[in-house]
Amino acid sequence: MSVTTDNLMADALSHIAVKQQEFFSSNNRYFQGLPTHLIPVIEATPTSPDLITNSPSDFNVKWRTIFPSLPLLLPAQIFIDYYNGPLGKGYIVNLRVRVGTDIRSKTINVGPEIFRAHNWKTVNQ
Amino acid sequence: MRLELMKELVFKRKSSKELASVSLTNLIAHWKLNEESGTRNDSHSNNYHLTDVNTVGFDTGKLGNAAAFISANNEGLSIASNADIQMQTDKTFVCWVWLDNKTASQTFFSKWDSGLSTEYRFRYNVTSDRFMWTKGNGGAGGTLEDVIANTFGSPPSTTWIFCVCTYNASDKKFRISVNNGAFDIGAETTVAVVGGSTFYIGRAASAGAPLGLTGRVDSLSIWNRLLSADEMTSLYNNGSGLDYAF
Repeated sequence: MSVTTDNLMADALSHIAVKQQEFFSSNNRYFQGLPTHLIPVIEATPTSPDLITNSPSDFNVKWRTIFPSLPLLLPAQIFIDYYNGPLGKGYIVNLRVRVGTDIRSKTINVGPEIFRAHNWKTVNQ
Repeated sequence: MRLELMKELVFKRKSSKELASVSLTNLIAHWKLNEESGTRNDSHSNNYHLTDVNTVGFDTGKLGNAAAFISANNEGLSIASNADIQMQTDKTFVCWVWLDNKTASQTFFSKWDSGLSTEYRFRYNVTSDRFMWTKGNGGAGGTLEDVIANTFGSPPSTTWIFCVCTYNASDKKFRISVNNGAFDIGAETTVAVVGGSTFYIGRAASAGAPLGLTGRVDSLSIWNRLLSADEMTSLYNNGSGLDYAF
């Protein structure tokens, strides 16, 4: 399921991983990114992110500030959650694509809370 | 001056004696939510400390500080699924909640992941303008039931409200009481779903559709038993609340 998206995302995820470590070194926290697109991207159809200039109200750092080399067309709606818990700090990259009428989601955890990682699954709205 | 102080102390002691004691038996967790950032600690003995996701803030609470959430930022406090927070036995959730506004449906606490397992969710529903205590169906297409707090009616915003949500493992029903009023009782008698969704305060786990809260939650407790009416009255304490260890 969504192997195509995984392949298309590979470079972007590597880029995110490198930049997140740099951001952490400077800020002692990871970057939080709100959804890049209003609606999840159609699978295998990279799309320009329409919300990429948004940022959380209490964290005014934008996607392009941290990830200037992120592709102009993204193969999935992406958002990043940052967490800070008893085991330490980490982040989750959330990917969402549309396949027909379904929305599929995958979460990639980087950090100590490994239960947060999930492979592709269909989510109800 | 000293005599006056003594009189006041005696009065306070008498007032608190009028409340029934609240037993800590089968108390699973109590989160005071007094912290200003980061991990929110479990004050009870099980170390169910909560992870801060997306930088939950704080504000004035019912008892000390409260956790303050902004929906647009997808903020929440969470802990991995475990047997104590699954609906395997009788369960009582007690908390104080505060809505900054009523412009959208908002989740106070949940174990609800639309892609994994929908188990339970306590929220404000904007369509009905009511609190709802929802019995999930696991996402498997079975019966999903919203138990609506009609007895209390329309909840006010910017006001602290006391809520008790229960699951009775004998009759399998969900119940909700607001500000220590009578319970609204669900009709559904299927066994509650036990799944692996992450428990969240302030949102649901569902990625992309967390129905987050813009408001506050304070003093949330979970018991693996049903509280007595006297215990709930004590925790409500005529609207003043009762701090842990009660």
